[in-house]
This record gives sequence, structure tokens and C-alpha cells, in this order.
Amino acid sequence: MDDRPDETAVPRERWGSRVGLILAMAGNAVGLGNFLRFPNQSVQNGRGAFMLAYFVSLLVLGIPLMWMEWGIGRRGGHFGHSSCPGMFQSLTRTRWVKYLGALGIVMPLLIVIYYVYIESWTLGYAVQAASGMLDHQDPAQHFREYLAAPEGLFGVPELRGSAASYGFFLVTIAINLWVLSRGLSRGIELMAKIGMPLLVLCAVALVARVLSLPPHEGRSAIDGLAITWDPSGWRALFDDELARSLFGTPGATAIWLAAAGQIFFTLSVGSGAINTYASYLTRDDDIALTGIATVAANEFSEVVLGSTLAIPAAFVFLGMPGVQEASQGSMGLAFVTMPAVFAQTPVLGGAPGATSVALLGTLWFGLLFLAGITSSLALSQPTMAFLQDTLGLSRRKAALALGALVFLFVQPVILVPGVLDEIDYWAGTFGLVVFATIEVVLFMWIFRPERAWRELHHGADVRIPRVFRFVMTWVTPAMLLAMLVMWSVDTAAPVLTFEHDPGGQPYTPESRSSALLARSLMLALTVFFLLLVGVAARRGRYRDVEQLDHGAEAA
Amino acid sequence: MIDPHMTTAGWIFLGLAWAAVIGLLVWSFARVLSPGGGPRPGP
Repeated sequence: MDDRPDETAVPRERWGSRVGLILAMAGNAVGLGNFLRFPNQSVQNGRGAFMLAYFVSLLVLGIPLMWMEWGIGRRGGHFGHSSCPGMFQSLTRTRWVKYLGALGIVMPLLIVIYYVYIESWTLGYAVQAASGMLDHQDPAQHFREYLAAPEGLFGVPELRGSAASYGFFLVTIAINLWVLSRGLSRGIELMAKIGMPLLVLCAVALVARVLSLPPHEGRSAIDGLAITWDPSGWRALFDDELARSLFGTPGATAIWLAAAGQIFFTLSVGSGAINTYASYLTRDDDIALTGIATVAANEFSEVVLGSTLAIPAAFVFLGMPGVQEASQGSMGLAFVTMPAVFAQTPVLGGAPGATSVALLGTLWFGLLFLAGITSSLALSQPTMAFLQDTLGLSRRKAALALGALVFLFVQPVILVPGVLDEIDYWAGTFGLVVFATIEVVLFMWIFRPERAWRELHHGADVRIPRVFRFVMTWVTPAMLLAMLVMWSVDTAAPVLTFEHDPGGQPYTPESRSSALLARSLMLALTVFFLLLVGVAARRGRYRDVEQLDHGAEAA
Repeated sequence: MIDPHMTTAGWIFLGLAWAAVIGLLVWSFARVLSPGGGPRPGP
């Protein structure tokens, strides 16, 4: 371990309390993916077999990556760097590695651009449910018109959107920026301390209602749990034919890839957000115990709460065909299926209908909004940190710059169909695996396993089981490289060459234009941040980590 | 399409998974909240 002083020239922000840190980290991990993406993925990709692959992926990918990102982040913070370029540079003397770290700013920013927009739908729906304006007679039509009013945005038919969705988006981005501008302890941490207990309360209230539903046409919520938890099809994990016939997946590999992808998404690993949060720890703060506590909090909300809400509720009222149809898309499940389910759910002894939609809808969309905002704050913080620490902007100016970037780049996401899906695929799915692979290679192979292991145990409150050193050094990188190769061949290459879109559908001339627009935006943002990293490097902002004596440190 | 029913194997799988997750949650938060956060072993 090096003996550099902990204090840097500029006073750094710190977490106010350990519980606050864990709640903020859990808030980062617990997001829309826990309650929407997870049930969909499990239904579509092997159900009980998916869950087995999910737990294997959690052990060999999720937990190791969580610890590694905490380790990289805390080390970067020790040298005064809260964004990935400086963190990566602190691991090796190779000068260009800081430019790879730019991905740890661009990717979360790209995700936050569309994530905040989706988050704003949940706020809009929560308000509409609470005020009795949510149309439960035809929720599909209501959702279509919420996103794209027939008269167009602000009465201009050429502009796709609606005043409601645009207005709630502006409110959502304003709330995000306000919290961010209050800083780490008084903004993000306070939000997590209020939001996370509220989120659990909403979820527990909904779970209690779902599990106590009386059987409907012979279908019970308990049987709905079997959709996720019946492991009898486990052989499909190793048998392509069985995977196709039992679950309709392209093969056994598809189940493994879907499970591993869900682990990335749910734990928020591979985006750079965890690294940034961890950078606000002090040198001697524990990361081993707090890292695993974060995983536990996320898994509780996903495996226990997330698996008990949407799918069992939809199963009781719609049956298995309805569940299959609802799980075609996460958004349909949240905004179309659930309001329809709430409209049939008796609540507080009253008849189902407008009251049950108002009460359960407010809880459900409120829950999703809280899950969303705690994640979007975390995804925004790498950009905030880079603008503040590296470019010297004040917190307020950094928040304004972030707001301007998000506002500018979200316009095509709102107005042009298909842009959101394209960005989600490259930044929110494929990019996570690419970035995680870079992190593992840097931390475990270039920084070396023995130093990485020492780094993780510095100030540790618990000892990480020794087997994880082997897993982190060999199994996790092997899994990531295998995923990269398989995804590149199966989807990334065909999507890149316009053979088919990320959903497997052929590109139309319109969707091809949308994809090109999305890729241009992503490229522009990447080049922009690479240039900024270059500017910061010329100003000597990375000189301290470029000149670290790694030989002496290793000794 | 046949509706699923919870089987014994399903209950066992669910029980094990939930017990592991809840157990990890309770253990880790108990350690985090304990005064001093417990001993700090070396590498």
C-alpha cells in the first residue's frame, strides 16, 4: 500500500454516514430494472432456469465486479479523482489509459439521457393516478397518447410527443439537477435516506396486496410465483433443443447471456457510477462489507420484491398468455398491464375500479419513480464529478452544464422513435460489458491480483473469501470475454451493419435513419469527452497519478 | 398454454434463494450498524 497522504489540495466531498452511503449505493443499484426488466427477462428467457443462471452470474460476475469497482473508485478518490479517467490512470503508468476512462463518463451520461425521460413517465403516471386522471378502461391507448398525442407536441403534428410527457420530463430533470446541485451529503445522500425506505414501504404494501389476492378463475398469486421459481426446466441451461422447446429461446446460451446481462443492469456495474460514489470514501473506509451490503440490498429488492409484484399480479387476472404478452416489453408491463391489473384488484374492502387504480397506481408508479431517481442521480454523478474535479466548475455550474447536455441530447430521444432503443443497446447493454472488461483487465491483470486483493482489504471490516481472488483473476475475465465474443457475433455485429435491430427485427428506412442519428449522437458525445480529458491532461490534472511509483507501491 | 403451479421443487428453490438473500441482507446490515463495524482484518 502506498504512503501518500490522503488529503488533496482541493477539499473533497464526503459521505455523511455509512448507512447513508449504503442507501445511496443501493439506490444506485435498485432501479427500474429490478421491478420491470427483471420479471420480463425471467419470463422470456427460461424462467426457473434463468434464475439458476442468474445466481451463478451474480456470484462470478456481479459480486466480484461490485468489489472491484469499489476498489478502483476508492483508490481514485484517494488521489483526488472521482471520475474514471483519473481512476484508471492511478492503476498504471500507461498514459493513454485515462482516455479509456472517458467511457466511464460518457456511458452513464448516455444512459441518464434516456433514463430520466422514462423516469419522468413514472412521475407523470403517479400524479395522474393520484389525481384520478389515469384511464384504466383503455390503458394501452392512454399510454400511446401520453407519449405521442394525436395533435402532436404543443399542437404541431410533425413533433412526436405530448405536453404531459414533455412537462413531466422538465419537472423530473429539474428535480434531479436540484438534488445534484445540493451536493453529495445534503443532496444525494439525503434523497437516498428518504427515498429508499419509502420505496421499500411502497413495495411491501404492493407485495402484501398481490400475495393476498383471492384466486381469479382458479389462478392464484402463489402459482404466479412458479413462473419465476419453478426450476424443473434446468436442463435447458445445457441443451439448446430443450431451451427452444421449453422456453422459446434461441438456445441455451441465450439464457446465460440474458441472466448475465440482467446482473449487469441490476447492480449498475460496468457504467462507472459505482466507482464515482466509492471515490468519496476516505482511504481507510471499509469497502468489503459495504460492497456486499449493497449487493444484498439490491438483490432483496429484485429477487424477493421484484419477483413478487408484476408477474404474479398479471398472472392472477390475465393468465399465462397475458403474462407472455405483457413481458414482451418492460414499458408495456409497467404502464399498460399494471393499470389494467389494478383496475381489477379490490382494495381496502371496496370494489375494484377507479379507487383501486388511484391507490395502487400511486404506490406502483411512486415506487418506480423513487427507484428511478436514485439511479439517475448516481448515473449523473460521474459527469458532475468530472466537471467539478477535473475542469474546476462549481457544483452549481456543473449541474447546469449537465442539465444543458441532457436537455439537448434528449430531444431526439423524445421526438424520434427508435433513438432510445439504439442508445439503450450500445450504452446500456453492450457498453456495460465492454467497460467492465476494461476494468477487470486493468485492476486484476495490469494492477496485479496481489495489489488488487490488498486494495480491497485495506480497512476491511470482513475478509473476502479467498476463492474470490481466483474468481476475480480468472473466472470473471473469462466470462466477460466470452460474453463479449458471443454478443459481438450474435447481435453487435449484425446491429452495427444494419442486418437487424437490437430486438432482432429488420431495420426499415426510418429505423435505420434513427439508428444512424443515435450513433452520431453517441459518437459526438464520446469525442467531446475525449477532448475534455485531453484538455485536462494538458493542464496537468493527471500528473500526480501519471507519475505514481507502481514498483515501490507493489513492494 | 398451461398455467403453472407451485411445486415442491419450486418452494425449495424459492425458499433457498430468499433465505440466502435475506440472510445476507440481515448479516451485512447488522455488521454495518454494529459499533465500530467489527474487526478489521489485514489481507
